[in-house]
Order: sequence, then C-alpha cells, then structure tokens
Amino acid sequence: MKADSLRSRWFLAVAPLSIVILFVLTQFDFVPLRPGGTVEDLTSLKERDDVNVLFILIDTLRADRLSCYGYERETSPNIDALARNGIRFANHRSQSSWTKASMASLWTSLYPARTGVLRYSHAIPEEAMMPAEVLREAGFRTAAIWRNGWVAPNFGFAQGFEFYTRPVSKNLPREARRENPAVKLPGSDLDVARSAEEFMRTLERDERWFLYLHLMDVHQYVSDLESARFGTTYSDFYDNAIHWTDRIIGSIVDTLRRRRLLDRTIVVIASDHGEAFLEHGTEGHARNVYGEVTRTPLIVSLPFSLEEGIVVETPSQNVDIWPTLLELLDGTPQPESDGRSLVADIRWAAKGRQSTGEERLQVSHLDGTWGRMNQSPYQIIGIAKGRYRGISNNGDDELFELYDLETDPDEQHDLSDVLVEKASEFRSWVREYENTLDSPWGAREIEVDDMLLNQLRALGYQIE
Amino acid sequence: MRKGLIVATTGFLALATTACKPLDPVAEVTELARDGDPAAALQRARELLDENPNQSELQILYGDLLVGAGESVLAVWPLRKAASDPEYAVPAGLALAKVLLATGNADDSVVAATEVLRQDSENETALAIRAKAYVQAQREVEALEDLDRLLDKDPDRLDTLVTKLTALLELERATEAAGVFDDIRARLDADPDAYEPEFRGRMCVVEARFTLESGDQEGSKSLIEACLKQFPVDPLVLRGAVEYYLGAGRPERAREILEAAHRLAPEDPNIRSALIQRLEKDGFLAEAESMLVEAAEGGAGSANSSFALYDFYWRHGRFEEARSALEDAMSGIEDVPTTIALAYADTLIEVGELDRALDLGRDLEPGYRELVIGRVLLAKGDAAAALESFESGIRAWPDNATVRWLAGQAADRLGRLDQAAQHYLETVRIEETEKRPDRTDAAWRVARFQEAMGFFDAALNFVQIHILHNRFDPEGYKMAARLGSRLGSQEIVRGALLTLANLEGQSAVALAMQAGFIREQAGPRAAIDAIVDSGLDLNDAANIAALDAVIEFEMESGHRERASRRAREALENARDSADLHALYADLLRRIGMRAVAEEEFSKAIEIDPDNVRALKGQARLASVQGRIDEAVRLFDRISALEPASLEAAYEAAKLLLRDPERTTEAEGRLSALLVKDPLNVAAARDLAVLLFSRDGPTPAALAAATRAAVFGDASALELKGRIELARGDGRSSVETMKRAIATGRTSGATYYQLANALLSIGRDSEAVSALRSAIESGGFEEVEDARNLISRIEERLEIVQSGTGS
Repeated sequence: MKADSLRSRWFLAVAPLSIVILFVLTQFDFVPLRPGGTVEDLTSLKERDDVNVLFILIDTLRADRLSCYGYERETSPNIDALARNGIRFANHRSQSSWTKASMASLWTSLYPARTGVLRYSHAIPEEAMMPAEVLREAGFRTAAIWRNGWVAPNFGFAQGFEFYTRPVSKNLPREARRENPAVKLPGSDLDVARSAEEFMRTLERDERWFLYLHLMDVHQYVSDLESARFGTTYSDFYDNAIHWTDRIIGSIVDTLRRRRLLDRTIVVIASDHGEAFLEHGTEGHARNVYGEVTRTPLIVSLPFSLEEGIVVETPSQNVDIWPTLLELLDGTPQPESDGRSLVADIRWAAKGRQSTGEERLQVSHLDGTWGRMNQSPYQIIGIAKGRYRGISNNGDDELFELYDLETDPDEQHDLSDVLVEKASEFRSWVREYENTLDSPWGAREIEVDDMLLNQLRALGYQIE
Repeated sequence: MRKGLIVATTGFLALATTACKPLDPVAEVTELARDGDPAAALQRARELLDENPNQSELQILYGDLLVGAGESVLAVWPLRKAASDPEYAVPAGLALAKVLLATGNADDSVVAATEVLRQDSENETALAIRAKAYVQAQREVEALEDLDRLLDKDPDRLDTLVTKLTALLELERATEAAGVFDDIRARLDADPDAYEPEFRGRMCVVEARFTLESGDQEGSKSLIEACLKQFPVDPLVLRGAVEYYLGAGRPERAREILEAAHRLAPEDPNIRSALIQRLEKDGFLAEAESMLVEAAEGGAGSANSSFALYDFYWRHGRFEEARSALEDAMSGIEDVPTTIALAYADTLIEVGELDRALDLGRDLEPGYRELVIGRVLLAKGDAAAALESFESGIRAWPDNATVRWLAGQAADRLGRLDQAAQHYLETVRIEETEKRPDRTDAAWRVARFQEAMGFFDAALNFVQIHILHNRFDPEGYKMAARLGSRLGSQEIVRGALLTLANLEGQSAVALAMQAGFIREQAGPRAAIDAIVDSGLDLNDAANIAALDAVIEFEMESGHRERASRRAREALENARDSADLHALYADLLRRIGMRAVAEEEFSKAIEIDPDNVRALKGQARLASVQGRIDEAVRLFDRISALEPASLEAAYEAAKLLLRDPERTTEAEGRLSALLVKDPLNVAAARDLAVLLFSRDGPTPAALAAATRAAVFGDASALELKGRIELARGDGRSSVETMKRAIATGRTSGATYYQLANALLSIGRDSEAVSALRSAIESGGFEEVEDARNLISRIEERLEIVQSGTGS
C-alpha cells in the first residue's frame, strides 16, 4: 500500500511535467537531425567511437545523370541534398565498366591488373584485406545486402561481413515496372531498404556498424508512375530509374533520421560503372571504358551537416574511397593500395582551392572478352591524366585512341594521329600499368555453377 | 495549440496506463495478432524491439509475423538476432533456416541449419531442411549424407526418399536412383492405401520416365499404359502420358487418352481444357468449339468455360462471337478483374463499338487505361491524341510490347517516322527478351526504316531478327541480300540468296537478285551470263523472275531483238501461261508496239482473268493512252487481288493527281496509302505537292513534306523548305535548304530558294552568296531575277555601310 501511494505521489508529480514537455515538443518539428559542422570537424571523427558507415553502391549509375553533377533533369533530389551539405567528387572514375572487376578494385583499393579479377571465373582471394575485415576487427558489426550476382560470396566479396544477404522477393511492388526487359532479377531495391532497417533494428544503440547496400534498380531501369516523368525512350527510362532509386535513398536517409542515426553515420554514395546510350555505338556497359561507362559519382555525407557543400575537382577514383574512409575513421589502412586518401584534397577544396602537385592518373580497365571462356583476353585500358585520356585496345598501336577531355569531354574525336607525341606518352603509361604492376596474390579462378551462370545471364550479360 | 493539448492529454493517459500495468511484450504482440490485426501486431513488435532488440522470444515472434505477412525476406534479420542467443539458438535457427530456404538463399540456409545441428546434432528438422537446401544449392553429394542420416533414423520417411531420388537423378547415379525408386515402389505396393492417390500416380509416371531415360522405349510405353489403366484421370499421369506420346510423334494417341479421360470425368475442367487444346492444335476446330460451347452453356465452372470460348474466338478472329462469349462470362462476376475488362475493351474496338470501349477504358487503372483509350483514338483517326495516350501508358507500363508497338503506329500516322522507329525498336527489345511466340512486325519495320536511312548495319541486325521469326518470308531474305551487298559482304549476300532460293517458288527470284548484284559490279552482259550459265530453264513459266531479269538486261544493253526472242521462245514453250503472255506483252509495250501488246495482254487475261502482271500491263497501256478511269479501275482490281502489295494503289493515286477534278480523291488515296506504308516517301511527296499547290502552306502540307524529307531526299527537302518559307518560318527554311544542298543533288533553284529564305530573316550578305551560287549552278528560271536581287541587295548594303560612317 505504501509503495502504491508513493508511486501514486510520484506519478502526480511527474505526470503534469510530462504533459508540459509533450505539449512543447508538439509545437516544433522535433526530429533529430545532424548538427552543423565544418571541414575542421573531420578530425573529430577519429576520436569518436560511435560513427557508423552506410555504403550505398548504386549499380550502373553514371555521374552526369545526377542533378548535382549538372544534369538538367531533376533526377536526384535526395542525393543532391546529401551532396549539398556533404562532399562531392566532381571528377571521379570507376576502375572498370563491369561490376565484378570494378567492385574488386573498390574493395581492395587496387587496380584491376593487381586484383587479378578480370574474367567471369575470377574471384578475390582470401589474402585480400577487405575494408569489412578491417572494420570488423575494429569492433564494427558488418552487414551487406546485395542484389548483383557478380558480388556473390563465391567470388570472394563476402570477406569480413558478418552477414552477407541477398533479399530475394518474388515480385516487384505492384506499382513499379521494369523497363529493361533484358533483366529478370526478382524484387526491387525496396527490399534492400527495408532489410536495411531490419538490420538496424537488431542492433543496440552503442553498437557500431558498417552496412553495404548494393542497389540494382538503376541497372534494371525500374520506375513507377511517379518517377516515370522524363519521357519514354530507353534513355528516358534510365533517368526514371534514377529518380525511383533516389526516392529509395531518401527513404533510407529517413530511416537513419527516425532512428536518430543521422548524426552518427557517414553515408557514402558510389557506383561501379555508368551506362552507354550509343555514344560510341553501344548500349549498356562492360564493353569498353569510355567516359559514359566510367565516370561515376562519389558523394560523402558526414555525421554533421556542412553549411556549404565541398566540391573536390581533383581527379579521384574508386580505389581512393577506402583509404579515405579508413583515414577518417582512424582505421588500419589496407596493406596494399593503389588509391590514396582524399582527405587532404577535401581540405584544400574547402578552402576554395584544388590540391596542387603532380596530376593524378585515373585508370579504367576492362578485359573485353571477360565473359567468353574460349577467347583470349583483350585488355582495354583507359588512362586519364590532366586534360587528356588515352585508351589502349589490347596494346595495338593502330587502335590506340587519344582524347582531349577539355574540348571533347565525350571522347568523340580521336587525336592519336594528330598529337602523336602525346599519344606515345600515354601508350607508355599503359605499358607501365600493365608491366610494372604485380598482383599481390595472382588471379584466383573458381568454377561457376550453372545456377549462378543463369542468374548472371538473367542480368542481361552474355556469358558463353 | 489544440493538437498539443490533445497529444499531451493522450500522453498523460498513456503514462497513467503504463504506470499501472506492466506488459509482457510477447503476450501483448500475440494478443494483437490473435485479435486479427497483424499490421498492429507488427507495428507494436517493431516499437518494442526498437526499445530493446535483445528480446529473443519477441524477435522470433516478429519473424513469424513477417513470414505470415508475406515478408519472408525481412524475417531473416530478427530470426538471425534470436538465433545468436544460446537459449533460442535452436528454435530461431530452425525458423531462420526455413525462411532462408524459402527465399532461395540455399547456401545461407545450410549455414543456419548447420548451426542448429552444432547445438543439437540429432535434430531431424535441421537435417531435413539442410538436405533440401543442399539440393537447392546443387550440392547433391552433401545432401545425400544428410538424407541417409535421416533414413537411418526412420527408413519410412517417404519425403526423404523422394528427395534422395531427386538428388541421385541430378548426379546421374542412375543405378542407385533405381534402387531408391524400387524401395519407394515396394512401399507403395505393400500398402497402397496408405498413400495419397496423387502420390501414387506421380510415382507411376516417374517410373515410366525413368525407364524412358534408361533407353527402354517399349518398357516405358508399357508402364505409361499401365499407369493410365490404374489412374485414368490423374492429372500428372495424364500429362506424363500426353507428353510421352507427343514426344513419340503420336499426337493422335495423346488425343485418345484425353478423350477417354474426358468420358470418365466429363465434369473435370482441367481434362476438358487439355482435350480442347489438343483438338485445336490437331486442327479439329469444330469439335473444339463444340466442346467449348457445351461447357459454357453448362452449370458450374461455366464462367471459366465462357472465357475459354472467348479466347478461342479471339484467336480465330471471330470478334463478334468473342464479344458474346466474354459478355456471358462477365455476367456472373461482380468485380471484373482488370485483365478481363481490358480484353473486353479490345473486343469492343475490334467490333467497332468505339465509344463503349472508350467509356470502359476510362475506368481502368493506369497502363491499361491509356492502352484502351489510345486504341480507340487511333481507330477514330486521332493519331496525335492516341500517341499521347500511348506514351502515358508506356510510362506506367514500360515493358509492354503492345503499347509500344501501337505508339509506333500512331507516330507513323503522324509522319514521325524516327519516333515510330524508336518505339518499334523498344518493342523488339521487349519481344526478344520475353521470347514471345506471337510477335509483332516491329523488327521488320525497324529494318525498313534503318535501310531507308542508310544505316545498313543496324538494318541487318533487325532483318535477321525478323527472319528468325518469319523463316518463310522471302522479303526478309531479299532485304538481307540487299544489305549484304551495300555492306560489301559477299558472305551475307550468298547466305541470304541461298536460303531464298530454297523457299518454295523463289529460286528464280534469288537468281535474278544475284544477277542484279553482278550487273552492278560487272555490267548487264555478265549478269545475263550468270543467269544463263546457272542452267535454269528460262522457258519454264515457273522461272519467270529470271527470264524477266534477262530481258531487262538485254534491253539495257540495247539488244531489243534478243530480248524479244527470249520472250517468244518461252511463250512457244508454254502458250497456256498467262504470265508469259503478259511478259511478252509488256516487252512489246516498251518497244512501242502497243496494238500487239494489247492483243497479248488480252490473251493473258483470257487464260487467267486475275493475272496481276497482265492487269498491270493493261493499266499502264491505258494510262499512256489517256484512259485514266480505265487505268485506275485496273489498278484497283490489282490492289484487291494483292492487298499486301501497295504498288498498284500508289499507281492509281498518281494517275488521279493528273486530273484536277479528282485531286480530293487522290488526296484520300495517298493518305490511306501512307497509313499502310508509312515509309512511302514518294507518296508523301506527291501528297505534299498536291496540298501545297491546292491549299497553300497548310500544316497538313508541311507534315506531308516533312515525312517526305525524312530520308534526306533533296527534292523533298527543297519542297519542305519552300513550304516553311511560305509559312513565314524563314529560319527553318534556311536549315532545310542547307540540308538539301548538302546532299549534292540540287540545282540552282535550291540556292535561289535558300537566298529567299535568308532574305526573309535579314541575312542579306549570305543571301547574295546563295544567289551567286544559284546563277553559277544554273538550271532554274529566275536567273534574271536573281541578278537583279544581287544588285539591289548590294546597293542597300553599300548605303548601310556608308551610312555608318566607317
């Protein structure tokens, strides 16, 4: 009785206060956001023990179709918002135009010639030190929710992940449609977004996590009526799919906001390659290394909001992503790396300057016969430096291409016969890339079973 | 303010309630689920787990609820969480393994089941799940180990035996598989009543298939017949038996089996449906229809039968009957599904009830709605509105080949040929991926467009797709040969002509085409030699295409007498051939012997009144002799005889253009022709000229001229430019004239028009340049005017320059 009456008195004291607090809260939109910050606060990330990493890989996304990269259509309001108060890398490239080779480079921070992952039966070996392993070692919970068969566990991509899951739901949501009829992947990225929230729901508040989401709806050209606002050509539907995916990204950011994780999560948006629309006579990707399939976005949103977003113009590459993130988190760097941390470039850019010094190379590499077991390799290597980009086609000097990216950003006018010396210079860099780089572990081949082959063919790839 | 007070009060009440009564989360959520509100149960579970994720029992319950709600994909997360708790590792792990298996994550299911077995090594459920997961992951060897462990515990597990059989068959371990099968069969024989008839039937068929795969055809056949005797109306047995006999090339036996089954179970809708399909496929249409009608008029299941009847009529183009059947089917349904409403709207359009179809279409959901509305608008002739509707529909339903194709049709009607080609291209993309058996002609349309645009490589891709699905269409091979020639690929030309030659009645055509290519390279003599040396009998009327070519080449070489002799020789050999009479008559017409030509044409018509060649010749003769009405009548007759060939229709329309009193009729015919053949730019040009001269620079004249100019024809571009200028659109006119000039096939007249267009937009000095070029090129009447213009402009320009005081 005494306990009841005490409780009762306590209750009478607290309840009115609760009413007042509730009343006050409802007068404002009190949804926890991010605090403001500046580039100087980058250093503070190392000292924190509560920062998570959400790595969103949007398969097949080319940078120049995002509004924040200058596209005239408003395809990406949510991604733009992240860039607006975060960091955008304006001159960024992927290391290949084919998912497996590109992702192997992204995760290992090594160029394709060094990962040894160039053909469909290649896999990342156990010796590779993947970021997930580094972070798991550092106490992060690590999970991946993926939908592209090229990053399946048997290709070595699951290393370091506690959970490596592919959500396989049978159908698209009723309201969504898939334009690219060449692709028969079940489900949609909505499954990924919802799975991400379920993953977060299993964690305690003080558990740090690294979550990798591999989204495929741009690759599949999924859209619904609301996002199908840009027309009806094949290229229009690609834009429609970006808008659809952007809405899903928005919902994921909302999840972070609702779960009060926005102020403790670094969000990274990247892509493995772009998509061609006949700029060089082909559609799709994984056929060559022109700009339309290698110029990809990189956006980093921090646990604090920058009043003015930072735009880094210095050339950057996917192999730079993890050296950068690991430096920000004070994580153990990967033992071998062809990339470098971009933190210094970010600081320069914040001051309105771009980093000086030697012009960086940007390398993109595709084995043109990656899907044909019985054909010899055909190495297509693109190297950009400064205003020029050279593309080597299997080392054949007659077929070497050179472009002036300042006057010809779309790489339509080959200058290799005009700027002969420059072409020669770039050819030598290609040779250097091919000859002096050694894979730390050599190529590892695996047997790809029929089931997986069929799944990959269902993505629209021709594998013979 | 008010909102705040309400929330505050609610909060107070909530606080009051929670302070009084502690709740068990699992019980709370379970109660919500039991109350029939799964959504509320899920929401509450989420809230509770957000507060504290370390509630393993609640995590399991949450996972169950997600599975129940059809969200198995999400259920893996709470179940994984619960499985990490040692106290709940087994139940959560089992649930997780099941869910992973159900969602196709076989390897992960193996891991989860293995984890359970680590805790409880004899857990049979885990073993069973892991075995199935191994099979799904194509790891049959590992599956067998688990299956054997299960059978050790309980040898009578039939489902385990069946799984083991499947695994052994996958591994092609036939002997062992036979052993397992014998085991299963022994159990069935020992106590058949202990097993469901469906299972026994299935095993019966499996044994027969097994026997067949081991190479014992006769044994398999005996077993099939034994299964039929034992299970005459079992669906799996029937299917197996029908497949067997179809595979053996005995469709009649397959039909007998179904007929016997139908006699035994006349009310079974599946058997009836299978029999009807078989009858239809075997060509017994009347019998199939009769069964469908009987079923539709019957009692239970008659709605489905009415749908089947509708489908039958639709497939055979009997749209009025299809409509009746569908209306019967729909009469018993309160909420008509969208797909059926769409089918009904389609039927209404086919029978011409457009307004009813439109009303119906407006009530459909997006995608379907625009499809129906667009079709109605197209049928009503409003191509622009139809295209808008189809494009809306495409946004809602991008991978629908039908709406894409229809959008192409609408764009064609509007003369937007490149837009149409784009839609057809997307149609092909969808059809190719979906591997549809019933395809549109989109690939053909794209191929024709690409060929006309000069994109021969691209055209070749599409004509190859067309050929793949239309193997007996000679036009495809002809186009492939033409394209091969343009691309300089003898291999392609040879391949196409060889295949063409092997089609019925096309060997002479192929030879004539080949000769045509030789003529391009080496002249008419070489072409004639190629045909003659082939050994083909040119006196055989069946080879008239080759004879035609020889005569043509002889005429081209100036050897009229030789040409004539060849024709006469052939005719001597086959005096009863209307085609040869007509061929000879045509030759006579060309060399000016009209009276004799008339006689020969008459002979041809006497033999065959519907001989198209002869009718065409007579029409041409009549045309030359000014008997326009007669010529038009003859061409119309040819169009009726050969509706797919539009050449005669165009000839008739052109004749009417000569008569000022009949231009309206000509306009109608040209417009109708362009609906059927959107790429006929010559017809479009004629229409543009007619409309411009009669009505002035109207939008219709401009549209026709734009269509005519789409492939870059110089004269069509010039016409378009003149119409644009007349409409006051100098800028467009300048661009168009420049395009015309760039073709290199224009005269001074085009430069003159360009100058006028430049003057209209104040670009005087450029106009002077154009005028000079016009004079230099010559070939136009207004030369004096051009010179005078130059003087006037230069004078004006001097005044302007001196006026600026430079």
